[in-house]
Amino acid sequence: MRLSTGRLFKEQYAFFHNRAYWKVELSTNQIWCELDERLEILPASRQELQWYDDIVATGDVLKIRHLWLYGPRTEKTPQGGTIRFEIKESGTAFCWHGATFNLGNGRRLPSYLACGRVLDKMLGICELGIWDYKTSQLYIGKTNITDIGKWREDGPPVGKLDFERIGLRL
Amino acid sequence: MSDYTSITVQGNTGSDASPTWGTAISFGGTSGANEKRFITAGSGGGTTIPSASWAASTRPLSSTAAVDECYIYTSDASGYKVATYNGGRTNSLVFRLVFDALGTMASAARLTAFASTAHAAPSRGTQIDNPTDGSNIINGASPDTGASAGVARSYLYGNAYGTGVPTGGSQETPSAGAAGTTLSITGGTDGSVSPSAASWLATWQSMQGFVQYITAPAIFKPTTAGNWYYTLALFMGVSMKPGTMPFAAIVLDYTYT
Repeated sequence: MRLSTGRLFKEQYAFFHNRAYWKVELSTNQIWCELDERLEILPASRQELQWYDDIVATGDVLKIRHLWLYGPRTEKTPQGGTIRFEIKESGTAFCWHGATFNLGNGRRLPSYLACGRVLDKMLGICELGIWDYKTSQLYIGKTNITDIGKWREDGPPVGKLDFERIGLRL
Repeated sequence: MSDYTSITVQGNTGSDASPTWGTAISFGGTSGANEKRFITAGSGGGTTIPSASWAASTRPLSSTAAVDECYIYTSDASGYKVATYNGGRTNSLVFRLVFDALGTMASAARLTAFASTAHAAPSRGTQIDNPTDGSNIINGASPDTGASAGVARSYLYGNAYGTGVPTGGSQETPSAGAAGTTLSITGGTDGSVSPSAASWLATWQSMQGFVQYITAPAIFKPTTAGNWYYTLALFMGVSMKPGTMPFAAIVLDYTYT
């Protein structure tokens, strides 16, 4: 069961505590946000929504009308960074997270959150927003979903993506 | 879940032919815990030494040499020796990443190393005085790791075996024996290199941020527990400026949904 209780407070907390997140509005007018929660009874658990489990696997990914990426307030971006994608064609919205795990000291860090939409399914042209935790900046641009390169000079290219897992139905 | 809740690292305390996997290093290590520590044989490495008292390895007076012992410390003064690590390529079952069954990767994972957990871009060939992080390892130096500073590779090399558990496949576990065929301190290739499925890289790759790194040949199978086997070789050389190097950041870079 997905719950959206306390969303406003959670969004404010994320804004002030260096947390980027996604939000979607569906054609049913339902809004889901990464900060919402999914409750499981057996075994009892509660956790934040996950893009694949709660949006892709449920089929909601095909109902998305708008997709937002919210970046937090930082010294560089006191207003945060937000981008909204209007999804005009079903199955063209996508999202994924990047993370690093430091094997030396066992520490895991988020590295970025990427959201966007494919504009041309034949050519793979897409509009992409990336919140980069390292630079505390929102990068926005057009690229090709089949070959997303670097969004900053010293960063890694994204590499080949699993389209189904990020939400695409091209 | 779509992100992993547990990715841990284990070292082999047994032999290459009969591995025994030691206690895993978990997330969130601090203050000497969850560390890999390297030292040359005979320099005083051990399993009960606090991080601040870790002995120095003497840099060679000419040419280069492997740092041939590695220990995994689960707490500040308690660790175990990775018995099959020797700074060379003769063993395959040395380290492994252990993934839980909760993650869903969106692209192939990458393995590399940075000077610190800040993950600053390496400055090839730049050696700094009195380093306090792994810059002098990762940046490399000429002539040890390259003909000139601009092409210097890292002093740390790595190799990986296939993907671990590729989508549509099953667990890839190496047999005992040599990992790859070529390990040279000047053997790194710019950009990414990928092993073939269920294979080691023939030529070891320099671990130098996202200048030189390893990418798995396939995406890890979603919501499947498994192990990705890898191995390392740390070198030092006459061109390296010495210092205390709390070398924290051998990095798994991955995506999830």
